Amino acid sequence: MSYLPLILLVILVLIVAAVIVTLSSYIGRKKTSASKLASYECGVPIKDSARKNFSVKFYLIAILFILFDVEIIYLYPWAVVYGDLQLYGAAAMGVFFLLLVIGFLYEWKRGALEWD
Amino acid sequence: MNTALPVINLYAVMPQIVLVSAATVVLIVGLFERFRKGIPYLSLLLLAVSGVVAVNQLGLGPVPFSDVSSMMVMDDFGLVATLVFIAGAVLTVLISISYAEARSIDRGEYYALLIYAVSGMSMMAASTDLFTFFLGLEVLSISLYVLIGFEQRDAGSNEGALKYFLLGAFASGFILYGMALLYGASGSTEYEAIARTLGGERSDAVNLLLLGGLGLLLVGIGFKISMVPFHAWTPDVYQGAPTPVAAFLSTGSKAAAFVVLIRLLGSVFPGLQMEWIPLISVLAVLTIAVGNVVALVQTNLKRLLAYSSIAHAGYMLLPLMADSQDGSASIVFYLIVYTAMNLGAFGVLAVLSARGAPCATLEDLAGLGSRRPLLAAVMAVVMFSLAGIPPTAGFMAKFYLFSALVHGGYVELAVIGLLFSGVSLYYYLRVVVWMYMRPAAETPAEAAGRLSYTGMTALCLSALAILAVGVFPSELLQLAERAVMTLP
Repeated sequence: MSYLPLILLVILVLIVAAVIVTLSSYIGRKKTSASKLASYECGVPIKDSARKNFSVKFYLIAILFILFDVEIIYLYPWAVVYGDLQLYGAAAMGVFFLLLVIGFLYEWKRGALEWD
Repeated sequence: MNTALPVINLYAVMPQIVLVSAATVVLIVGLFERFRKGIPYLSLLLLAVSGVVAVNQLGLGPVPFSDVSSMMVMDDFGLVATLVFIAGAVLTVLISISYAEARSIDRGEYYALLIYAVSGMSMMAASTDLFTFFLGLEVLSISLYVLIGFEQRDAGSNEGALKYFLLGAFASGFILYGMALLYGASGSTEYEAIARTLGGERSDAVNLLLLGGLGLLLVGIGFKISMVPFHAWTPDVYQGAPTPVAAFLSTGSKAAAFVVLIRLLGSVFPGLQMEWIPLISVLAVLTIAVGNVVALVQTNLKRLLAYSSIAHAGYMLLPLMADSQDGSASIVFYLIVYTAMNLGAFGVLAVLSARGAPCATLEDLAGLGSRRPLLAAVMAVVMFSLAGIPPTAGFMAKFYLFSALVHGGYVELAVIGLLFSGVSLYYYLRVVVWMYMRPAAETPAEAAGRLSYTGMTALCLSALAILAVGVFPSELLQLAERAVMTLP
C-alpha cells in the first residue's frame, strides 16, 4: 500500500502527457514545409539515409574503445579506496592492467590500429 | 576506515592461473611469424606444465579459494576433471598440427583459444558458485565460437560457428535466468547456500523458484551436453567445424558440462530429487534413443559421430539418478574413456583429411584396411570401444555405468540402455566393414605420401590407452572413485 502515491503519480503523468499531445494535435496550427518535415539532426541539414553499411573497421574501433573504457570505470572506485587496499589493491589492479596491456599489444601487433 | 581484506588462497586456483597464463603466452608468441612452426609444440609444453601443477595438487583435500565466499574450490574432483581436459587438449593439439597446416589455420590464436577453452572448463570444474560456473562457461563458449569458425574461407565452418553462437547465446540466457531464480530463492549464488535453502523449511513460493531455476539450468546445460530435445545443433556444428575442433567440442566441452552437472545435482539439488529424477530419466532415454536410431542412417562420418556422441551423453545421464558415489564415479570413468575414444575417432578423420580432400563419408574409408593398416586398426579399436565390446575401455565404462544403475535400483533403465547399445553395434561395425571389406572405388587423394607423425602418435596413444584400460581398468576406476570422494 505504501506504493499508492507512486502509482497515482504514474497514472497522473500518463493522463497529462496524453492530454497535452492530443490537445496540441487538435488545436495547434499546421504549416508544413520540406525542411520542417525532415528528421531533426541537431539543426544540420540531412545528407541521406542513415540505414546503410559501415565499414567493419568502425566496429573494430568500437570494440577497442570498450577495452580502454571499461578499464577507466574500474579505476575510479579503486582509486577512491586505494588507501585502504594498500599492496593488495596495487597487486590486483596490476594483474588487471597486465592483461589489458597484453590485449593492447596483441591488437597493435595484429594491425588493428592501422586504418588501411 | 579500515577495510577487512579477504584472504585469497592463490594456490587453490593455481591450475587455472597456469592455464590462462599459458594461453596468453601462446597468443603473444603467435604474433611473431618466425615462431609459427613452434607454436603447437610450445602449447604442448605449457599444457604439460599445467598438467604437472594439477597432479601435484591431487589429494591435498578441499581448499577453498577465499575465506569470504567459496567461489572456487581445489578438490580432487575438479583436479581430475582438469587433468582430463588437459589430456584432451594435448591430443587435440597433436591431431591439429598437420590438419591446421594443410588449411593454413595454424595461427597462434588457434592454439591459444584451445588453451583458453581448457582454462574455462577447468574453472567450471572447480566452481562452487553459480558466478564462477557461468564465467568458466563463457570463457569456454566464446573460445569455441571462434574455433568452430576458424576456417574463414569455408562456408560450413562459418555456418557451424553461427549456429553454435546463436544457440549457445540462447542457452547462456537460460542459464542466467535460472541463476536469477535460484538467487531469488536462496539469496545467494553459492552452491552451499542454495543447498541450505533446499535442506530447510521452504514455502511453496520458494519451492517454485528453486524448481524453475533448476529447470532453466538444465535447459542450458542440456544444450552443452546435447541432450534431447536440445541436441539439434550437434550434427551441423560437428560437420562444419574443423575436424580437430569437432573432436575437442565433442569431448572437452561436453565433459565440462557433465562435471558441473554432477556437482550441481549431487551436492546442491538432492532435495529436489523427486522432481528431477523422472525428468532426467525420460530425457536420458530419449537422448539414447534419438542418438542411436538417427545414427543408423548417417553416411557422413562426422554426422555419425555427432549422433553417437548424443547417444553417449544419454548413457552418461543415467547414473545421475543412482545418486551414489558409484554412480558419479562411473560417470567420471566414462568421461575419461569417452574422451580417448572420441578424440581417436575424430583424430583418424583429421589425419586423413590433412592431405587433399576431406575424409567425410563412409565411402572415403573404403579400402583403408589395406591402404593404411595402422590407421585402420586404430579406427577399428575406437569403433569397438564406442560400441562397448570387450576387451576395450568402452566395455568397462559401460559395465561400471550400468552396474551402478542396477545397484541404484533402476533395472528398467539399464535394460533400455543396453538394448540401444546393441542397436549402436550396427553403425559402429558398419565403419569397420567399410574399412576392411569394401575395396576403394578409386585411389583417394590421401593415399599418397606419409601421414603426420604427431597425429599418428596421438592416435596410437589413445588406441593403446583404450586397450590398456579395457584390460586393467582398476587404476583408472580408483582415480575416478577418489575424485568423487571429495564431493560433499
